[in-house]
Amino acid sequence: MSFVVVQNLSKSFNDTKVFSNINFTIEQGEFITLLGPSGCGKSTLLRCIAGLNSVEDGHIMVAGEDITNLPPQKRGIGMVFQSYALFPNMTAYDNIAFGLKIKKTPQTEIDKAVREAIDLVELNGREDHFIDELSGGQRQRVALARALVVRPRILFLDEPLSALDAKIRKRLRYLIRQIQKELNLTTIFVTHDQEEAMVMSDRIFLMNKGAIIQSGAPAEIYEHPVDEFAAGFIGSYNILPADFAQKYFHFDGKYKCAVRPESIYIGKPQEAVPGLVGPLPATIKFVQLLGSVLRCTTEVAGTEITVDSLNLQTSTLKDGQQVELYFTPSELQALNS
Amino acid sequence: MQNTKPIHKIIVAVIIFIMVLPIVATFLYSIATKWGATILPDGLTLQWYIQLVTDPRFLASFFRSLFVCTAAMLLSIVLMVPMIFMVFYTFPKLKKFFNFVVILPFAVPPVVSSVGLIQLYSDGILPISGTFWILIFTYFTMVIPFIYRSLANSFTAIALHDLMDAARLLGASTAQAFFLTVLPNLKKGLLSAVFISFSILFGEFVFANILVGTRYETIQIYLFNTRQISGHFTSALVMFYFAFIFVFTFIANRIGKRK
Repeated sequence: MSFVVVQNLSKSFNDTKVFSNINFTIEQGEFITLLGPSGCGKSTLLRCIAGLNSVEDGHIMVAGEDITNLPPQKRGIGMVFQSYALFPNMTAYDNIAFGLKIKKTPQTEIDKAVREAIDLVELNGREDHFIDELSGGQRQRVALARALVVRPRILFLDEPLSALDAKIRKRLRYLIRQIQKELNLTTIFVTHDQEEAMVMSDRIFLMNKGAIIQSGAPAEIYEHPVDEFAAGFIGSYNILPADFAQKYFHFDGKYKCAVRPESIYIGKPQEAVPGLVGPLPATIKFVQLLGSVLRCTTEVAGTEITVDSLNLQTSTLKDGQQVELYFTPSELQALNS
Repeated sequence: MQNTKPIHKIIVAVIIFIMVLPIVATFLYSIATKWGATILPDGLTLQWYIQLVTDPRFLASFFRSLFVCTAAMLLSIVLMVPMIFMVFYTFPKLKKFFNFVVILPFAVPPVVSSVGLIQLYSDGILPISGTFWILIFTYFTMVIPFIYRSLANSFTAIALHDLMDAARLLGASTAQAFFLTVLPNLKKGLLSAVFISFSILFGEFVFANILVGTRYETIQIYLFNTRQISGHFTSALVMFYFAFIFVFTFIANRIGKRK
């Protein structure tokens, strides 16, 4: 049996359904991301599993134990909040020690465990500071240490990096993943940032409108989105209308076509691609420089197609330029519309 | 301080002068033997203060005021803190209702509400009219706006639900979470509410006079009743009262600053 089993979980607020019939399993030590746009129910789902919100229906099992009706303090779940939720009346040290003090752990053990946690999140020298004396990144490290020190069975991360700036966010991403692997800690991470989800997770549960619409390894979800929403959310897929797909790619007219911007060639590719589709005459509407990537928004017969190419010194793409697009047939994915 | 122009200093100095002058004058009067048609008193004496502190009636009234105010404050804290917590934690929709309700003690003039209070407490299940009990309960209602507003601000300033959730996930019961993580963060707001409420209650006269009067002589009633003795004596009493409020506020401020 899997370490975490969620069966038929449903939740509504008043008459509004937040999610219904959620089913999934998680193995011990897995890093799972609930990914979805804001309002899709991912945070509420996490809070329900943590026991902070009630559920109408369904079961939650952890290590074979049904925890559906347990109060949050008995579930063995550690949580890091987007708002940090640190105790402002305490120092970093006391914040981290809080859970152990509540459990009446002997002082020497508390001290040892807190020191270890401080080492783990690389917060040495800051332990005697009050929360308002710490930076955002440091606060989130305290929150992480506070959640880890009580040795939870599962770690919940509710958009922990959303309030931080890009550089610190990347650093903490790496730190969290490293610690998670080191402790072999089953982790559920909630985010609306697809890049974050791809970088960190073993598996992603993609959520939309209160349902898990696709789950799988990041590469799998990225390469084979199940529907238009998944294609639009997980990557910057081009979604081409059914008549366009029929005319140029010989689809049967029922399906839209999803195609990744980086799989399209501007000009004939130098390598041999079996069954190459093209050329399609296109006009570059504008070029955006994204660092290592040049993103060209082009137009083919009134339909916008985004094309990403490596930003090489030989690139001469300019706004208004006439170009030819080529497509790899295996990259043209039919989508239910 | 940036851009301090002379005019700023002058304005501040004038305001301080205007505010301090009556206190200084009262103080001078309280240590004067006689102060008639001259700019400064004829002679200085401590006799008014000695007369004051050796008057058992004064000390009794002082401690009565202290008792009634402290009791009202404790009652309001014990009742209001859990109530406001419940409003913010469980029934946030009630905030609007309370925002309205807390204005009521201001909206009704004391002369009017005291008549209602006397009627309410003269018979029925709680006949406490004319006793200090009625004063405690009335004073409690008087300070509700200050306590509510100040605590409501403190509750708004902290991420109440997140703090409670975090504490509970770390193993704390709801009560532990409240006492260990929420209450310490309310200390500042609570203290400032207590200073202002206590000072207001200590100086309260209308309710004390109408509801209990001489049957339970508070310091303000005593001040009123002894106003005929001598202006110097009354000044000494007022100075004593000022000094007490000042020391009280000072101590409370010091406690509030400590982390």
